[in-house]
Order: sequence, then structure tokens, then C-alpha cells
Amino acid sequence: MSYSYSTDVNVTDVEGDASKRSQVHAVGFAKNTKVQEERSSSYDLAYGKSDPEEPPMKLVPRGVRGPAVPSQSQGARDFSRRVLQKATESASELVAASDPVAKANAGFDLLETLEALWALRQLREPDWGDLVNILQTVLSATDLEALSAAQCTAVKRVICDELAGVPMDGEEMSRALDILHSAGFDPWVGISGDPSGQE
Amino acid sequence: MTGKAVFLDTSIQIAQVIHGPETKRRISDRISNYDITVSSSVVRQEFKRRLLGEALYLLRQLNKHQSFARVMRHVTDILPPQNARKKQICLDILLTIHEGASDVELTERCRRYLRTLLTQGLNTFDAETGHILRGVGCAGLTCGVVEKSPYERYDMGSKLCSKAGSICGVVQFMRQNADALRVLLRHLQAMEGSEKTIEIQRAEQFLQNVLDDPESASKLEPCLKVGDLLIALESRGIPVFYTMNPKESKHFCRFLKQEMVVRPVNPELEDQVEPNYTDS
Repeated sequence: MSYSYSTDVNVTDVEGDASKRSQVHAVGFAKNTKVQEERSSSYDLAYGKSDPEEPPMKLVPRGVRGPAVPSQSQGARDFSRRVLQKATESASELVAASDPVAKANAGFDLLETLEALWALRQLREPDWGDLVNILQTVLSATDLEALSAAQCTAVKRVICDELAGVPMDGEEMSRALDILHSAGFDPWVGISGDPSGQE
Repeated sequence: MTGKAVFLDTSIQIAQVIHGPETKRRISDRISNYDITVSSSVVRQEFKRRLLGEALYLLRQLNKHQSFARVMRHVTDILPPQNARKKQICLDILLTIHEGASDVELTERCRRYLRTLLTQGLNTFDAETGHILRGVGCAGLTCGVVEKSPYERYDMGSKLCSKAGSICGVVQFMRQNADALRVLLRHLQAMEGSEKTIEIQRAEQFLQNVLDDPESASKLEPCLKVGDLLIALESRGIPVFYTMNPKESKHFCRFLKQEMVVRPVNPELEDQVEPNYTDS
């Protein structure tokens, strides 16, 4: 007899109560035996069985309303994957570029691809769109010809490991900001400026 | 750990995130002269209250007006001139970077930036600070910003020490440092009346009250009312105090025999180094 967790699970994150921190509240166990399914034609499982095609799922702390991510059609998912693939290739070209002009051209290609990713932001979780925004802003504010090797590598890492990785939340965003900052980018450049009229 | 340490005041921590590139470069150059960077629990709390509080304010305005341009106008028209000038988060730069973007797009980009600042700001603070002193044990050391609903609702925690309950360690800190506080009170009392700013007068009154009754410390809301005093006390023992706001700090630095380094707001100006007073 086999059982699977329902997909609708919550993790109780109680500050200061480690014993409850990872307590998983399954809404219910769904019995996936053939016997159960054959019991009645009108009986259906409350939740779908594990699907190897499904992307990895993250548990969301209870109390945080999940991001409003519309379900994607297969076509949208395929398109999203292709654009991410293109972004990965552009980032690789950026890393491989040996002179300032080649670097700038690869950078402009990447910015165009990031614009296409930006157009897909509503299909993805908030942190994913937030990171596309930051990456676009950071690269737009930089002289592409002057990108260092470390910066090109950092851009590639952010795209390959974070944007094209598992569904993003604060952890991936934090890592991405750290990668950008460590490479000498200023992730906050979009909202930075010296106060005027003071001294 | 050994080496020369520098204490980073709230103004420096905020500037490291949202001031212009030249200011950031100068701060980075200054810090590179030291082996250890230190900050404290009250600095972290002020960083959250001031910078992230402003991010939340702007995000709420964007949600209300649904227009980047209208919020820019609103901030200029509604906030008192002094306050508008001192506004820390600069939105103008988005206009420059995303030249030609529509108001709708700028609104969304701005909302996303502000959300990132709200959810990641304290991570950035922690990552960029070598050591955070527990000091007075401010509740701000452990309390973060809780996102209730992305782009909409955020719980920043209470600003009041009196509502922090047992997490706040200010009473215990005052008890443990009573002797030093007495000496500081005498130092402040001996200052010329003309030198005493309102905050210094408040600090004097606060010290008098807590020396009489240490239990009253949290009820007096010290983080809100005498933040500079608490930060100075937390920085005790660190030889260099780096700040953009020398007004009150200079008096505390003199007392604590610290070298004070002032970063002017104008990025073209060099840091001003005030000598320490060890020999005076």
C-alpha cells in the first residue's frame, strides 16, 4: 500500500519554537492504491498523484499568501524555457567575449533576451520577476565594454543558477544579490542617489 | 580576532545601500583601511526603521496611486521640503536607466525594487557588516520584515522598546553599565549649555532616569528617542566611529576617546577625520 502527501502542504514556522518549525501539516493522505481508485467511479483523489514532469515544489510558510502565479500552458512553459536557454547562451557568449566590442555586443544581446524574460514575469513567482528587473537595471546602468571577467561570470551564474534554476524565493534572491555584489555590481543602483540640497 | 576596527553608524549603513556611486566608492575605500567592520543591534534596528520604513512608504504610495510619476510628484508636494530633500531612496535614477519606459512599466519596476529592498535589505546589512555587536540587545537584532503578501502587506514589527517584551535587553544593559553611565552623565552635565542639542539634553535626562530606576529604561523608548546615545554606548571599545551625522556623535566620541570619521553628504568632499581624544 502506498501513500503520498497532498500537494497542498504548509510548514508552520513558529518563531522561537524549533520543535514546531518544520512540522508539516498535510491536509490529508491520499491513498493511491488501485483498490481505492476502483472503489467507485465517482470517487476521485483530492489531489493529483506525484508527477515526474512537475517542477520541484517549495514548501511555503503558513501565513504567507502564496504568490499569484497563473498556471502556465505547456506552450508558455516551452517558450519560457527557450527564452531562458537563449539567456544562458547569451551569458556564455558574454563570458567568452575577448575584446570590449564583442563584450558589449554579447551584453546587448543579453539585454534583449532579458527584455523577453521581463515580458514573461507575470507567469513566474515574484522573486523571479524581481531578479530580472534588477539584472536588467544593473546591466543597463553599466558600460558593457568595461565589464570585468568576474562580472561576466557573475551574470552567467545568476542566470544559469538562479533564474533558470528551481522556482525562486528569498533564498535564491539573496544568493543572486550576493553574487552580483561580490563581483562589483551595485544591485541597488536603480534606487540609489545622493540626497540633494544638503550639506 | 585582531586588527584595527571601525564602527559603522546607521547613516553609513544606509548610504552603502542607496547613496550614489561616488559616495559608495568613498565609503568602500575608507572601510578597506580597517581589518574589522563592526555595527550593532540599535544600528540594525534604525536601518530597518528608517530605510525599510521609507521603502514601505513608497511602495504603499505606488499601490495607492498606481503611477510612478504621480508618486514622484506626491512625495515632492506633500512631504515637508526638508524631509523631501532628506529622502533616502532615490527614484529618479530609474527614470534615467530605463529611459523611454512608460509610467506603467516604471511603476512596476519600482514596486519590484522596493519589494526586494524590503525582503532583502536586512540580509544585505548582515552580509556587509563583519560583526554585529549585541550591545543593548535591541529587539531589532532578531526581528526582520515579514512579508504577509508580496508587494502589499509587510510586518515591520513594533518601533517601541516598551512593546518588545523580554527580547529587548536595554534594562539589563543599563544595569550592567551603571558605572560608565554615571561618568557619561557627568560628562554631559559639564557641557556648555550652548553645545547641548535637543538629543543631548534628552540623553542627559534619559541617563538620569535610568540611573534612578533602571527598570524604566524600555518604557522610555530609548531606541526612538536617544538612539545616538545607545549606539555610542554600543560602540564603546571600537577605536573609530564612522558616520555621516556628526552632530551628536562628536560629543559621544570625545567621551569614548574614539576617532570620529565623518563622510560628508556631498560626494565630492573627502572624509573628515576628527582626532581621538586619548591624550586630552
